[in-house]
Amino acid sequence: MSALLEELRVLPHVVAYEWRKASAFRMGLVSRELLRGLGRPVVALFVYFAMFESSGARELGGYTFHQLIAYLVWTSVIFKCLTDEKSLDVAEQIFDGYITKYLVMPVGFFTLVLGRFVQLTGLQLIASFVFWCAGALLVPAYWPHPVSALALAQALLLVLLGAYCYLLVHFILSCLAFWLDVVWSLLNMFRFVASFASGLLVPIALMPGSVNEALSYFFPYWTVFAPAELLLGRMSGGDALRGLLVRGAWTVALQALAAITWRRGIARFAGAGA
Amino acid sequence: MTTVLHYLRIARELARVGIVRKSQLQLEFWCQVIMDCMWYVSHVAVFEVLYAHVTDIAGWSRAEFRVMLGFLFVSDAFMMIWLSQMWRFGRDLKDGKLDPFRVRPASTLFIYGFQQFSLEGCTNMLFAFGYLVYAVRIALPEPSTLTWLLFAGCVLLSCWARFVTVTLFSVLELAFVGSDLSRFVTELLHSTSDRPLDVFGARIRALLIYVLPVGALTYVPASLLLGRYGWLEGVGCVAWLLAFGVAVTWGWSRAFRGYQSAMG
Repeated sequence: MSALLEELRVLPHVVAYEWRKASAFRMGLVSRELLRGLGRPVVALFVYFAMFESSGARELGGYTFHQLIAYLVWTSVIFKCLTDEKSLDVAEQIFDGYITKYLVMPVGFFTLVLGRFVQLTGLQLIASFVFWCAGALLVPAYWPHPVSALALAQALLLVLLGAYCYLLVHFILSCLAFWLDVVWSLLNMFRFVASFASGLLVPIALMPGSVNEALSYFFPYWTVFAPAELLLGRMSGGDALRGLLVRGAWTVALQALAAITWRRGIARFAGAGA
Repeated sequence: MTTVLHYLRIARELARVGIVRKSQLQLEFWCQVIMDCMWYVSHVAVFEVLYAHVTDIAGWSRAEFRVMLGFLFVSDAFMMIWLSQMWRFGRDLKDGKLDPFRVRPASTLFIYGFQQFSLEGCTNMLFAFGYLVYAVRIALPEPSTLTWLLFAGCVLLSCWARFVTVTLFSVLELAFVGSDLSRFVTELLHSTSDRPLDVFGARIRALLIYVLPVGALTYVPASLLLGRYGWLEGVGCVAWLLAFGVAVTWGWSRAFRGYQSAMG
């Protein structure tokens, strides 16, 4: 218990350290952190507009054009809060053989990873809020609002838990560098699969029902698509509860897998790199 | 001619080194092949889902759209085969790792950009090329010899456009060290290149073809092949893209003169 308290005491310092790293290059901070994920929905907006115009339809897969705009806004806001393959440099530390320097620090290694996560998520939540406020001021007629405070709370909970699952997956895949040396392709594979399975590329409701059902057993679905649908009022509290159960199971499993992968990997690590 | 042969010899050596390097990391080879196949599948899946709801997007039918995706895959595979090191340009610049490339016997851009020949990229090129040929055979059921010649030209144009865009965006890193701007702009603008540019207005479309030529990766070659451009317009566009590319490489070399070790 005292060890946990000690880690928690150090965590704010780790977060501050990560913040200093992230803000060392200001233009980098703007391009990497603040503008992250804002280009894709703008392009998608034009595509959806063209689809509505070409077909003359008032609805596509149950979405009106305004709902699709809202979906794009919410998914881009949510996506900003997720870690990506570049968020952690654990694999590089393993490959280059300098991970050992972190092992002698008076803080657990995972606390360092957690510090990065807290810094990134905190910054992205603030950036997302500013982005949302700017949109609400500039284009109030089109800008979406959460259907209720409860939906917002449910969505936020799902997003934060989902972001943690993303962190765990990135950590586990990075730790595979203990065995495989180079893992960036695995990290990219996860990105491609997760982008599709989370509804980031196209709303899952537009996909066939069986695909929708199958994807609902995986955490990316409950990280991006479900929170966006909750905020749009297209999903209910019961769905959110199911999402929390699925997410809870995934979190426990991934946490255990992360611990095992790290323990086994570090046990065979030679320190001189690959 | 001597210069071209000199560069070809260097490219052959880089390819040989790339093959030897990959023999050390065989699992990574297959991982990268699978990774790119996943990327292809996710792109195809997204647009098959969209076309399940409409018959055309901005005047592009499903068959025509597949041709455009095919060009995207081919130009991406070209990037993977030869230009993957350009992804790390910003980082190498910041870390001051570019000095050795200034004293080698060819242009810095060529030696740096083409240093990481990728065997897995060649494998993925087979998949990409196969998809493109499949898409062309569906969109143009009875292609003539001229069509196949045009097809070869369009593939070259798409690969040339990849080289030009990557070079153009990397200049941003020279101006703003440590910014990751080239990666940001690449990801932002390349998200437009897998859509028909007709979804945008005329001005944005012109910008994306003639100034930030991501449209030349997919939209222009597909339009040329599918007969959506007239001959005069097509020839003019290609001539501009060739001249623009030469100007970009010249501009890159000029900008690189300001490089100093450990710029970050």
